[in-house]
Amino acid sequence: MSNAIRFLETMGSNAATGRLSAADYAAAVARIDAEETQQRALLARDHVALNGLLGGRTEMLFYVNTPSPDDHEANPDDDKDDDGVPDQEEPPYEKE
Amino acid sequence: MGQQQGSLACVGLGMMLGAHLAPRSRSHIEQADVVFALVSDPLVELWLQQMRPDVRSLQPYYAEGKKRTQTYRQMIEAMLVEVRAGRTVCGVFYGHPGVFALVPHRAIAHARREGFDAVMEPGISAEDCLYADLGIDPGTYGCQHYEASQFMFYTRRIDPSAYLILWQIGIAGDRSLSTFATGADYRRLLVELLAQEYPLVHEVIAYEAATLPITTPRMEGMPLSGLIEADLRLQTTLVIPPARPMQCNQAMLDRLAQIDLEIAVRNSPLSVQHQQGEVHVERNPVS
Repeated sequence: MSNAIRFLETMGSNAATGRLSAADYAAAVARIDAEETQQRALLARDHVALNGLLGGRTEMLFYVNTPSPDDHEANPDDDKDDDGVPDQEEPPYEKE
Repeated sequence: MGQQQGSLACVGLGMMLGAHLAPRSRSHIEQADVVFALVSDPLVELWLQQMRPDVRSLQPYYAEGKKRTQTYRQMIEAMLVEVRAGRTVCGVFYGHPGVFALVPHRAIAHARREGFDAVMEPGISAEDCLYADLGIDPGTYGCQHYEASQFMFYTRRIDPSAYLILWQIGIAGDRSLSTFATGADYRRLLVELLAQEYPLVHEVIAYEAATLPITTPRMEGMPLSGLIEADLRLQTTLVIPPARPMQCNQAMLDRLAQIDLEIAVRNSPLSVQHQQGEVHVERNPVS
Protein backbone atom coordinates (compact mmCIF):
# COMPACT_ATOMS: atom_id res chain seq x y z
CA MET A 1 0.00 0.00 0.00
CA SER A 2 1.23 3.49 -0.77
CA ASN A 3 2.35 5.02 2.49
CA ALA A 4 0.56 8.23 1.66
CA ILE A 5 -2.71 6.32 1.29
CA ARG A 6 -1.94 4.36 4.45
CA PHE A 7 -1.44 7.69 6.23
CA LEU A 8 -4.85 8.87 5.04
CA GLU A 9 -6.38 5.58 6.18
CA THR A 10 -4.84 6.03 9.63
CA MET A 11 -6.04 9.60 9.79
CA GLY A 12 -9.53 8.51 8.81
CA SER A 13 -9.70 5.81 11.43
CA ASN A 14 -8.03 7.64 14.32
CA ALA A 15 -9.93 10.59 15.75
CA ALA A 16 -6.82 11.85 17.52
CA THR A 17 -5.18 12.69 14.21
CA GLY A 18 -7.94 15.16 13.52
CA ARG A 19 -6.96 17.08 16.64
CA LEU A 20 -3.25 17.35 15.83
CA SER A 21 -1.74 20.80 15.99
CA ALA A 22 -0.19 22.11 12.78
CA ALA A 23 3.28 21.30 14.13
CA ASP A 24 2.30 17.75 15.16
CA TYR A 25 0.60 17.19 11.80
CA ALA A 26 3.73 18.36 9.99
CA ALA A 27 5.83 16.03 12.14
CA ALA A 28 3.50 13.11 11.39
CA VAL A 29 3.72 13.82 7.66
CA ALA A 30 7.50 14.07 7.87
CA ARG A 31 7.62 10.56 9.36
CA ILE A 32 5.87 9.01 6.34
CA ASP A 33 8.17 6.99 4.15
CA ALA A 34 7.04 8.64 0.94
CA GLU A 35 8.41 10.85 -1.80
CA GLU A 36 8.97 14.42 -0.77
CA THR A 37 6.40 15.66 -3.30
CA GLN A 38 3.75 13.47 -1.71
CA GLN A 39 4.72 14.72 1.72
CA ARG A 40 4.41 18.30 0.51
CA ALA A 41 0.96 17.59 -0.91
CA LEU A 42 -0.14 16.04 2.36
CA LEU A 43 1.30 18.90 4.35
CA ALA A 44 -0.68 21.35 2.23
CA ARG A 45 -3.71 19.04 2.44
CA ASP A 46 -3.72 19.31 -1.34
CA HIS A 47 -5.67 16.23 -2.36
CA VAL A 48 -5.67 17.17 -6.04
CA ALA A 49 -1.89 17.30 -6.12
CA LEU A 50 -1.60 14.10 -4.11
CA ASN A 51 -3.98 12.33 -6.45
CA GLY A 52 -1.92 13.44 -9.42
CA LEU A 53 1.27 12.17 -7.82
CA LEU A 54 -0.32 8.82 -7.03
CA GLY A 55 -1.82 8.39 -10.47
CA GLY A 56 -5.50 8.55 -9.52
CA ARG A 57 -8.26 9.42 -11.93
CA THR A 58 -8.66 13.05 -12.87
CA GLU A 59 -12.44 12.78 -13.17
CA MET A 60 -14.83 10.72 -11.10
CA LEU A 61 -18.43 10.14 -12.07
CA PHE A 62 -20.68 8.54 -9.56
CA TYR A 63 -24.33 9.06 -10.36
CA VAL A 64 -26.14 5.79 -9.73
CA ASN A 65 -29.68 7.06 -9.70
CA THR A 66 -32.29 8.37 -12.11
CA PRO A 67 -35.07 10.91 -11.60
CA SER A 68 -37.67 8.28 -12.38
CA PRO A 69 -37.55 4.65 -11.34
CA ASP A 70 -37.68 3.66 -15.01
CA ASP A 71 -37.79 0.07 -16.04
CA HIS A 72 -34.30 -1.12 -16.81
CA GLU A 73 -35.62 -4.28 -18.37
CA ALA A 74 -36.98 -2.22 -21.22
CA ASN A 75 -35.17 -1.30 -24.38
CA PRO A 76 -32.83 1.62 -23.68
CA ASP A 77 -34.59 3.58 -26.38
CA ASP A 78 -37.94 3.11 -24.67
CA ASP A 79 -37.05 5.12 -21.61
CA LYS A 80 -39.04 8.13 -22.69
CA ASP A 81 -42.53 8.72 -23.96
CA ASP A 82 -43.58 11.79 -25.81
CA ASP A 83 -43.71 13.76 -22.58
CA GLY A 84 -39.95 13.54 -22.28
CA VAL A 85 -40.17 12.14 -18.77
CA PRO A 86 -38.69 8.68 -18.19
CA ASP A 87 -41.22 5.93 -17.55
CA GLN A 88 -41.85 4.76 -14.03
CA GLU A 89 -41.55 1.19 -12.81
CA GLU A 90 -44.47 -0.58 -11.18
CA PRO A 91 -45.31 1.48 -8.09
CA PRO A 92 -45.43 -0.04 -4.61
CA TYR A 93 -49.08 1.01 -4.22
CA GLU A 94 -52.35 -0.10 -5.78
CA LYS A 95 -53.08 1.47 -9.14
CA GLU A 96 -56.46 3.16 -9.40
CA MET B 1 -35.53 -22.34 -8.02
CA GLY B 2 -32.68 -23.79 -5.97
CA GLN B 3 -29.88 -21.58 -4.69
CA GLN B 4 -27.07 -21.34 -7.22
CA GLN B 5 -23.39 -21.11 -6.50
CA GLY B 6 -22.58 -17.50 -7.35
CA SER B 7 -23.45 -14.68 -5.00
CA LEU B 8 -23.54 -10.92 -4.86
CA ALA B 9 -22.96 -8.52 -1.97
CA CYS B 10 -23.35 -4.79 -2.52
CA VAL B 11 -21.58 -2.96 0.27
CA GLY B 12 -21.19 0.63 1.35
CA LEU B 13 -17.74 2.11 1.69
CA GLY B 14 -19.01 5.13 3.60
CA MET B 15 -17.97 8.64 2.60
CA MET B 16 -14.58 9.26 4.18
CA LEU B 17 -11.46 7.26 3.39
CA GLY B 18 -10.55 5.06 6.33
CA ALA B 19 -13.30 6.36 8.57
CA HIS B 20 -16.54 4.65 7.65
CA LEU B 21 -15.93 1.16 6.29
CA ALA B 22 -17.70 -1.34 8.55
CA PRO B 23 -15.97 -4.66 9.40
CA ARG B 24 -18.66 -6.72 7.71
CA SER B 25 -18.39 -4.77 4.47
CA ARG B 26 -14.61 -4.98 4.61
CA SER B 27 -14.85 -8.75 4.94
CA HIS B 28 -17.00 -8.92 1.82
CA ILE B 29 -14.36 -6.93 -0.05
CA GLU B 30 -11.52 -9.10 1.21
CA GLN B 31 -13.26 -12.44 0.66
CA ALA B 32 -14.92 -11.90 -2.73
CA ASP B 33 -13.62 -13.57 -5.88
CA VAL B 34 -14.37 -10.44 -7.88
CA VAL B 35 -14.75 -6.87 -6.64
CA PHE B 36 -16.39 -4.04 -8.60
CA ALA B 37 -16.26 -0.48 -7.36
CA LEU B 38 -17.93 2.86 -7.85
CA VAL B 39 -16.62 5.53 -5.51
CA SER B 40 -16.73 9.31 -5.47
CA ASP B 41 -13.09 10.25 -4.87
CA PRO B 42 -10.03 9.11 -6.82
CA LEU B 43 -7.93 8.71 -3.66
CA VAL B 44 -10.66 6.53 -2.18
CA GLU B 45 -10.48 4.42 -5.32
CA LEU B 46 -6.71 4.11 -4.86
CA TRP B 47 -7.29 3.06 -1.25
CA LEU B 48 -9.68 0.37 -2.41
CA GLN B 49 -7.21 -0.75 -5.07
CA GLN B 50 -4.65 -1.23 -2.37
CA MET B 51 -7.08 -3.41 -0.42
CA ARG B 52 -7.89 -5.37 -3.57
CA PRO B 53 -5.41 -4.79 -6.42
CA ASP B 54 -7.74 -6.69 -8.77
CA VAL B 55 -10.70 -4.38 -8.16
CA ARG B 56 -12.65 -3.52 -11.31
CA SER B 57 -13.78 0.08 -11.49
CA LEU B 58 -17.23 0.80 -12.89
CA GLN B 59 -16.07 4.27 -13.98
CA PRO B 60 -15.38 3.30 -17.62
CA TYR B 61 -19.08 2.66 -18.19
CA TYR B 62 -19.82 6.39 -17.96
CA ALA B 63 -19.53 8.60 -21.01
CA GLU B 64 -20.71 12.10 -21.81
CA GLY B 65 -23.68 11.86 -24.15
CA LYS B 66 -24.42 8.24 -23.21
CA LYS B 67 -27.68 7.65 -21.42
CA ARG B 68 -27.10 6.84 -17.79
CA THR B 69 -29.79 4.17 -17.91
CA GLN B 70 -27.62 2.31 -20.41
CA THR B 71 -24.57 2.85 -18.20
CA TYR B 72 -26.46 1.45 -15.23
CA ARG B 73 -27.64 -1.60 -17.15
CA GLN B 74 -24.07 -2.32 -18.19
CA MET B 75 -22.84 -1.97 -14.62
CA ILE B 76 -25.49 -4.38 -13.40
CA GLU B 77 -24.75 -6.85 -16.18
CA ALA B 78 -21.00 -6.71 -15.52
CA MET B 79 -21.60 -7.84 -11.94
CA LEU B 80 -24.19 -10.44 -12.87
CA VAL B 81 -21.97 -12.08 -15.49
CA GLU B 82 -19.52 -12.96 -12.73
CA VAL B 83 -22.29 -14.09 -10.38
CA ARG B 84 -23.65 -16.39 -13.10
CA ALA B 85 -20.14 -17.79 -13.55
CA GLY B 86 -20.39 -19.02 -9.96
CA ARG B 87 -18.17 -16.39 -8.37
CA THR B 88 -18.54 -14.56 -5.09
CA VAL B 89 -18.99 -10.99 -6.25
CA CYS B 90 -18.77 -7.80 -4.23
CA GLY B 91 -20.01 -4.46 -5.53
CA VAL B 92 -18.48 -1.60 -3.55
CA PHE B 93 -20.30 1.71 -3.65
CA TYR B 94 -19.51 5.01 -1.95
CA GLY B 95 -21.75 5.96 0.94
CA HIS B 96 -24.69 3.63 1.40
CA PRO B 97 -25.27 1.27 -1.53
CA GLY B 98 -29.02 1.57 -1.20
CA VAL B 99 -29.53 5.32 -0.80
CA PHE B 100 -30.13 7.20 -4.06
CA ALA B 101 -28.43 4.28 -5.73
CA LEU B 102 -30.38 2.38 -8.31
CA VAL B 103 -27.61 0.11 -9.55
CA PRO B 104 -27.03 -1.92 -6.35
CA HIS B 105 -30.76 -2.34 -5.75
CA ARG B 106 -31.36 -3.53 -9.29
CA ALA B 107 -28.33 -5.81 -9.32
CA ILE B 108 -29.47 -7.52 -6.12
CA ALA B 109 -33.03 -7.88 -7.39
CA HIS B 110 -31.79 -9.40 -10.67
CA ALA B 111 -29.47 -11.81 -8.88
CA ARG B 112 -32.22 -12.99 -6.55
CA ARG B 113 -34.65 -13.47 -9.43
CA GLU B 114 -32.08 -15.72 -11.06
CA GLY B 115 -31.76 -17.77 -7.89
CA PHE B 116 -28.53 -16.38 -6.51
CA ASP B 117 -27.84 -15.29 -2.98
CA ALA B 118 -27.61 -11.49 -2.89
CA VAL B 119 -27.33 -9.09 0.03
CA MET B 120 -26.81 -5.41 0.72
CA GLU B 121 -24.62 -4.17 3.54
CA PRO B 122 -25.42 -0.60 4.58
CA GLY B 123 -22.82 2.13 4.77
CA ILE B 124 -22.55 5.66 6.10
CA SER B 125 -24.21 7.81 3.47
CA ALA B 126 -23.85 11.46 2.51
CA GLU B 127 -27.19 11.92 4.24
CA ASP B 128 -25.72 10.62 7.49
CA CYS B 129 -22.75 12.97 7.16
CA LEU B 130 -25.07 15.85 6.36
CA TYR B 131 -26.99 15.40 9.61
CA ALA B 132 -23.76 15.28 11.59
CA ASP B 133 -22.01 18.19 9.86
CA LEU B 134 -24.98 20.55 9.71
CA GLY B 135 -26.35 19.59 13.12
CA ILE B 136 -29.70 18.64 11.68
CA ASP B 137 -31.94 16.09 13.35
CA PRO B 138 -34.54 15.00 10.80
CA GLY B 139 -36.89 14.26 13.66
CA THR B 140 -37.02 17.83 14.93
CA TYR B 141 -39.04 19.41 12.13
CA GLY B 142 -39.31 16.51 9.71
CA CYS B 143 -37.31 16.14 6.52
CA GLN B 144 -38.31 15.58 2.91
CA HIS B 145 -35.81 14.13 0.43
CA TYR B 146 -36.10 14.15 -3.35
CA GLU B 147 -33.85 13.65 -6.29
CA ALA B 148 -33.69 17.20 -7.70
CA SER B 149 -34.84 16.40 -11.24
CA GLN B 150 -37.62 14.16 -9.98
CA PHE B 151 -38.69 17.07 -7.77
CA MET B 152 -39.00 19.18 -10.93
CA PHE B 153 -40.62 16.55 -13.15
CA TYR B 154 -43.42 15.54 -10.82
CA THR B 155 -45.88 17.51 -8.74
CA ARG B 156 -44.89 17.28 -5.11
CA ARG B 157 -46.44 18.55 -1.92
CA ILE B 158 -43.76 20.63 -0.27
CA ASP B 159 -43.94 21.18 3.47
CA PRO B 160 -41.98 24.40 4.16
CA SER B 161 -42.16 23.75 7.90
CA ALA B 162 -39.83 20.75 7.43
CA TYR B 163 -36.35 20.45 5.93
CA LEU B 164 -36.29 19.89 2.20
CA ILE B 165 -33.22 18.14 0.80
CA LEU B 166 -32.61 17.86 -2.93
CA TRP B 167 -30.03 15.35 -4.18
CA GLN B 168 -28.12 15.44 -7.45
CA ILE B 169 -28.74 19.19 -7.61
CA GLY B 170 -25.86 19.54 -10.08
CA ILE B 171 -27.99 17.93 -12.80
CA ALA B 172 -31.35 19.36 -11.73
CA GLY B 173 -33.76 19.36 -14.64
CA ASP B 174 -31.77 17.03 -16.89
CA ARG B 175 -34.23 15.01 -18.95
CA SER B 176 -31.62 13.53 -21.26
CA LEU B 177 -30.00 11.33 -18.60
CA SER B 178 -26.83 11.78 -20.62
CA THR B 179 -25.13 14.84 -19.19
CA PHE B 180 -23.22 15.43 -15.98
CA ALA B 181 -24.18 19.04 -15.33
CA THR B 182 -27.03 21.43 -15.99
CA GLY B 183 -26.76 25.18 -15.96
CA ALA B 184 -28.41 28.40 -14.86
CA ASP B 185 -31.46 28.12 -17.12
CA TYR B 186 -32.45 24.83 -15.49
CA ARG B 187 -31.82 26.13 -12.00
CA ARG B 188 -33.82 29.27 -12.68
CA LEU B 189 -36.86 27.03 -13.15
CA LEU B 190 -36.05 25.14 -9.96
CA VAL B 191 -35.78 28.41 -8.03
CA GLU B 192 -39.08 29.51 -9.55
CA LEU B 193 -40.67 26.28 -8.33
CA LEU B 194 -39.22 26.62 -4.85
CA ALA B 195 -40.19 30.30 -4.66
CA GLN B 196 -43.81 29.19 -4.56
CA GLU B 197 -43.14 28.11 -0.97
CA TYR B 198 -39.95 29.91 0.07
CA PRO B 199 -38.88 33.58 -0.06
CA LEU B 200 -36.04 34.21 -2.50
CA VAL B 201 -33.94 35.49 0.40
CA HIS B 202 -34.43 32.27 2.38
CA GLU B 203 -31.00 30.86 3.21
CA VAL B 204 -30.24 27.47 1.71
CA ILE B 205 -27.10 25.37 2.05
CA ALA B 206 -24.93 23.73 -0.61
CA TYR B 207 -23.53 20.67 1.15
CA GLU B 208 -20.76 18.23 0.21
CA ALA B 209 -19.51 15.56 2.59
CA ALA B 210 -15.77 15.30 3.19
CA THR B 211 -14.34 12.23 1.47
CA LEU B 212 -10.82 12.55 2.88
CA PRO B 213 -9.59 13.16 6.42
CA ILE B 214 -7.50 16.07 5.10
CA THR B 215 -10.50 17.92 3.69
CA THR B 216 -13.54 19.53 5.25
CA PRO B 217 -17.18 19.33 4.24
CA ARG B 218 -18.63 22.12 2.12
CA MET B 219 -21.43 23.90 3.97
CA GLU B 220 -22.01 27.03 1.92
CA GLY B 221 -25.00 29.17 2.80
CA MET B 222 -26.64 31.34 0.16
CA PRO B 223 -30.02 32.91 -0.54
CA LEU B 224 -32.40 30.76 -2.57
CA SER B 225 -31.99 33.16 -5.48
CA GLY B 226 -28.23 32.56 -5.38
CA LEU B 227 -28.69 28.97 -6.50
CA ILE B 228 -28.98 30.00 -10.11
CA GLU B 229 -25.33 31.01 -10.40
CA ALA B 230 -23.92 28.84 -7.63
CA ASP B 231 -21.15 26.29 -8.13
CA LEU B 232 -23.15 23.09 -7.88
CA ARG B 233 -21.29 19.86 -8.62
CA LEU B 234 -21.98 16.16 -8.91
CA GLN B 235 -21.55 15.71 -5.19
CA THR B 236 -23.51 18.79 -4.08
CA THR B 237 -26.71 18.38 -2.11
CA LEU B 238 -29.11 21.26 -1.51
CA VAL B 239 -30.47 21.69 2.00
CA ILE B 240 -33.44 24.00 2.49
CA PRO B 241 -34.20 24.66 6.16
CA PRO B 242 -37.78 25.22 7.30
CA ALA B 243 -39.22 28.60 6.38
CA ARG B 244 -42.39 28.48 8.43
CA PRO B 245 -43.34 27.25 11.90
CA MET B 246 -45.15 23.93 12.15
CA GLN B 247 -48.91 24.39 12.22
CA CYS B 248 -50.92 22.57 14.86
CA ASN B 249 -53.47 20.10 13.53
CA GLN B 250 -56.12 21.18 16.01
CA ALA B 251 -58.78 18.78 14.74
CA MET B 252 -56.45 15.83 15.31
CA LEU B 253 -55.36 17.17 18.68
CA ASP B 254 -59.01 17.44 19.72
CA ARG B 255 -59.67 13.85 18.70
CA LEU B 256 -56.61 12.63 20.58
CA ALA B 257 -57.73 14.58 23.64
CA GLN B 258 -61.10 12.86 23.41
CA ILE B 259 -59.42 9.45 23.43
CA ASP B 260 -57.27 10.48 26.40
CA LEU B 261 -60.39 11.63 28.22
CA GLU B 262 -62.21 8.37 27.50
CA ILE B 263 -59.28 6.33 28.76
CA ALA B 264 -59.02 8.47 31.89
CA VAL B 265 -62.71 8.07 32.58
CA ARG B 266 -62.59 4.31 31.94
CA ASN B 267 -59.68 3.92 34.34
CA SER B 268 -61.10 6.10 37.11
CA PRO B 269 -62.34 4.29 40.26
CA LEU B 270 -65.82 5.66 39.67
CA SER B 271 -65.90 4.26 36.14
CA VAL B 272 -64.75 0.83 37.36
CA GLN B 273 -67.66 0.79 39.78
CA HIS B 274 -70.00 1.80 36.98
CA GLN B 275 -68.61 -0.87 34.66
CA GLN B 276 -69.55 -3.42 37.28
CA GLY B 277 -73.08 -2.02 37.02
CA GLU B 278 -74.67 -0.86 33.77
CA VAL B 279 -72.88 2.47 33.00
CA HIS B 280 -70.06 2.60 30.44
CA VAL B 281 -68.37 5.26 28.34
CA GLU B 282 -68.88 5.33 24.58
CA ARG B 283 -66.47 6.79 22.03
CA ASN B 284 -67.77 9.97 20.47
CA PRO B 285 -68.80 8.75 16.98
CA VAL B 286 -68.55 12.23 15.47
CA SER B 287 -65.22 13.67 16.53
